[in-house]
Amino acid sequence: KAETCGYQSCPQVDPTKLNVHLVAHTHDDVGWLKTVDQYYYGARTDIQRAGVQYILDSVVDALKDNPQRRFIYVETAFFWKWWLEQSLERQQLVKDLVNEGRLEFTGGAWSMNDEAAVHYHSTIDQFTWGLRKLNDTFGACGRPHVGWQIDPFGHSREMASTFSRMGYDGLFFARLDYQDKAERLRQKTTEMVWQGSPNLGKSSADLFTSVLYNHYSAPRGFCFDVLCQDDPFIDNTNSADYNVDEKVNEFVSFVLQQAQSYTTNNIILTMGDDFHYQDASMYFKNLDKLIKYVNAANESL
Amino acid sequence: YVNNSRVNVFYSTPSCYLKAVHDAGQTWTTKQDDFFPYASDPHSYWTGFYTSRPTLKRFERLGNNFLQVCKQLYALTDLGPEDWVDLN
Repeated sequence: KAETCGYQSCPQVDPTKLNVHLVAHTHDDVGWLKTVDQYYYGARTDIQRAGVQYILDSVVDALKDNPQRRFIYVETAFFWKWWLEQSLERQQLVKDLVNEGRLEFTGGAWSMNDEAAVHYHSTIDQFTWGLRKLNDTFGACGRPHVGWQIDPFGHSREMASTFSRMGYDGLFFARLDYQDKAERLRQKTTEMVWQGSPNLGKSSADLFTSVLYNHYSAPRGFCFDVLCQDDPFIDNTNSADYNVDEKVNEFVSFVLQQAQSYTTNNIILTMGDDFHYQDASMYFKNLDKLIKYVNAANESL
Repeated sequence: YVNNSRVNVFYSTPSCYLKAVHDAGQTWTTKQDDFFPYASDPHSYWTGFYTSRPTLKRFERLGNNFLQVCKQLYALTDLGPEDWVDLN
């Protein structure tokens, strides 16, 4: 079967329109308020309602249901625990999803490491460990192309250099100084080429870097996770609660606002948050409708 | 950015966004320094964690040292996969 992952599997963009890239994701801390195993199995819900095994189970089902859907997964420590518990049939299904670019690894290290208190040696070791598992399991289609450091509290130049030298093509993150962010949004310098090293040869440690707009969360009103309180799309015109026109307008106004701070006719929207997608169908069902109704409304313009 | 308000929404991934931005063929501003310190508002500088839990921080550095020693000895002894079980 021909591999159609990576850049080959990308959707067509329309150069005459504002292209809104919906990125369904879950931010799964490898230990925080709970231990790694408590997070994985979903124990101690009194502390935090989070169970990664349910996330991966339901995401795979949701991806199987609709070939248009995409999901990125980041933390190989959790993925590997889950992978070892799957049947051969389930593993083959996941391999197919990865080979078709429907499930894509982003970041791909054992965890999303801190950038302030780490030693670069440990950073490389934990990347090697995560990337080796992905490579041994999925081959070329398991290879992440971009860094995804959405939560670390500040970012080091050495990390940019390391990403570049590991062959990554870009980096996305959310946390930068609030004044820096405000200024970058105003000046449209939210995206840049980060020159990771003053020592390595010209451009050999350069890394395209993009600052995410809305932290790493979905726009207000469009969080469809089981952990959120936003209304779903109610698209039956006979329903007293029909809300499609209102939601489409709200969404379009958000993306036009965001587009003002970026320079191409592409923007990225992070549709997820901490330990989201424990019930992936709930999220994806509404994203399917979002895509359908927003595109339908904009075709008539 | 775009002058018209026509919006095209679709499922994507960060690498596909990167490809689309790359294909736009723009030049970008550059950056040479880092993104420290991180402040989320005027009175919240996230610099305490540079030193928090010093014992744990030291244990990690020491653990890294031990790990490198183990890896080097492992390489020197020329152990193969058949020996892995003895190491567990």
